[in-house]
Amino acid sequence: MSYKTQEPVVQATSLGKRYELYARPIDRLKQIVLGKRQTLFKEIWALRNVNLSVYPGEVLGIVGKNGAGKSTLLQLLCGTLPPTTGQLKTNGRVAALLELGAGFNPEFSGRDNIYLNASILGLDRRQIDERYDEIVSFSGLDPVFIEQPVKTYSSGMYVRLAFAIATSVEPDILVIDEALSVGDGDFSRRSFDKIMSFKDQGKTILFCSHALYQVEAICNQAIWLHQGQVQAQGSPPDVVAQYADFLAREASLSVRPAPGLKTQGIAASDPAAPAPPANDLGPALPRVRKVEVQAGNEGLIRSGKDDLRVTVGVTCPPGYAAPSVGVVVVDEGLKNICSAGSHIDGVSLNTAVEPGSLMTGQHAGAGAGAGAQAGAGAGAMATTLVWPKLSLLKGKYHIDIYLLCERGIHVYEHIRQAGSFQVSQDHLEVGVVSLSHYWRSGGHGSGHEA
Amino acid sequence: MAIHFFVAGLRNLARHKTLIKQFSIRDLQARTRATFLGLGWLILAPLILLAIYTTVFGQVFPSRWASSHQTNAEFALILFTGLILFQFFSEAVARSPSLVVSQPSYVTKVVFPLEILALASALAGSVQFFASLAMLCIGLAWAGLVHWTWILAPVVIAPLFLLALGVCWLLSALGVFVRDMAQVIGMVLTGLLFLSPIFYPLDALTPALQAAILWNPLTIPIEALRDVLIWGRIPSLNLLAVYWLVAAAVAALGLTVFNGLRQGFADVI
Repeated sequence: MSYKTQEPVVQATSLGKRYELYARPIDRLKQIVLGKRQTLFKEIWALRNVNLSVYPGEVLGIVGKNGAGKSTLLQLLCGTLPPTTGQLKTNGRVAALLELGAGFNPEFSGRDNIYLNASILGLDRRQIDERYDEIVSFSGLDPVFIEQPVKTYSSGMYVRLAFAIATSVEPDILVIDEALSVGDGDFSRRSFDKIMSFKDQGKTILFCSHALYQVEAICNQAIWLHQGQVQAQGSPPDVVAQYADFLAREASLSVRPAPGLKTQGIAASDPAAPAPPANDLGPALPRVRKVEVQAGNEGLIRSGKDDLRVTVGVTCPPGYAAPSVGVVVVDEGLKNICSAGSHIDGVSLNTAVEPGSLMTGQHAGAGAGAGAQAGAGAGAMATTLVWPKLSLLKGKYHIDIYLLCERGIHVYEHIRQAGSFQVSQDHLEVGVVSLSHYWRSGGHGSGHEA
Repeated sequence: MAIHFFVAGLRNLARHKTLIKQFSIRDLQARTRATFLGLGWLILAPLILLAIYTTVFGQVFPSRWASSHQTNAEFALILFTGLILFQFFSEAVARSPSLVVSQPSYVTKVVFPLEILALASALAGSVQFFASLAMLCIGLAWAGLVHWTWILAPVVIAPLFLLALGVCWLLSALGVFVRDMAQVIGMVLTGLLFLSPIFYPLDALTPALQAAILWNPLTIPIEALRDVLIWGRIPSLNLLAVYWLVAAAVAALGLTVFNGLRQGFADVI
């Protein structure tokens, strides 16, 4: 790739982090005085021998189970933790979206904390003055609250203000933990747009996520960490495939399978409640209104004979581009079997199809942002996905529904097991799917046609 | 290695001027926030202390000054000169062990130049000191004790500030590892209060005791400040020069030790 001719903005060589556990704080002091002559601690290696080079404009995704060392790696990358071994070079201003609001002083007002926090992040008084209004308006905080101590803020307001400050410093490198968005409801979407706008501006992003789909969708390289070691590194599809494989193997060993995908926190993940949460008081977001699974004859599909139809009804408030819908068929072990996405297939959910509305995804990708398409998809809409003559083999399957932004990355809603169906077969093929195939007589190579 | 810690510390201090200013102001606000009198305490607190000490050492246990030919007002001014220096030093030092410990998120969650905490605390404390000093000068002017030597006051005060800063750095770093620091410091400070020429003149002591009490870090600045403000004389320049050297050395040592130990902060906070 062309940008590889540039210097890397983040370069780590044999990076490692050892946590030293001391029985008493004073032992730590003794250790500094003693140097290497004697060790007074129990050691835990959280990370070992990580090598990476991230170039300007690249997005690095880190996957791995909880406790695998992802957060430690991110903390090393943004400089809050010193590495025990190896070297780390970063080139440019780093903004860490980890522990948002950690630098806040709860006794001081929002205004004071903006100045305090932004100066911790390296802005001087004049720069903060310039950005002040922008920070407040992005945070969406009521002007009344800005003069109140932040201890009176709700956790949502806290995070919104912290996010607005953290992203106001115009970072070159963005370090993000877990999700590509913060806060809830409307702010979640706006923070996602902000992060994507950094990507579009060619900033470097380092993030860890449980949403493997997101890693594949936006990353240029990926790392899979397991117990502090790099298990796989390279192109996201490869790494994600290996990791998903590992998860599936683990899941088959345990009684309760671990789902490979995690909701973004805004959607109710209760399988029994596919309806949008009734107590949602925030601004309206695109929502799944209804899901209808029509599978053969009363939920029973004869393999290769009956169609599977999934109808998804969606409401989209003004101000949002028409969302896209993802439908995933999962098996009893919650393993993804197959899927279809309206954004992948280039299908617009907008009922009133206008020329160009199919292109919303590309426009956003070019940096136009969501505002440009504001209102483009407002209203109620529905779409039906059809898998004709479904060739899955016998078993019980569930349908997961994702409601996604027009780019198909940000998750508005994830409904697990929105419906289910059963497949029967009248032959003895084994496996999960019957792929189209034919036989040729003869046996050796290409010889004789049937 | 040590040089590196010192240079890195100085560079951080130079680079984070905005932050130091912000933190000093916040520190000052935090002391007075949500109090009814607010900044009024800057004036009131030292006056109340002065009233107590003047009563105790002027009337209850008359000190050497009080029993000689000074009036009550003059005695109060002499006492106040020593007292405000002690107040500044003791407040800065007493707060230092908890400076870093009380800010865990600055240690583990954000990239933060921790060395500015001690500086901001000392600067905030010096605002209180200067408010008291202004009151002292008003009192002296009212008593008719105005001297040209007043212009030397900064030369006398500055090294005490350096010394306090150095001690702050040392103690705030050690306080992370040795949590009983706060208890010890309270006692040491009480010792320093009574073993300095605050309540009695230095020349009231035997020569041996005088020599011993010179080791109290407050003795030289107290005597020198009285010389320039009250008696209108030039203080002992030799002693002052030595004091400057020692104070600068302690400040440099404090910064160096602080930066040397900070690698261990995150492991125990």
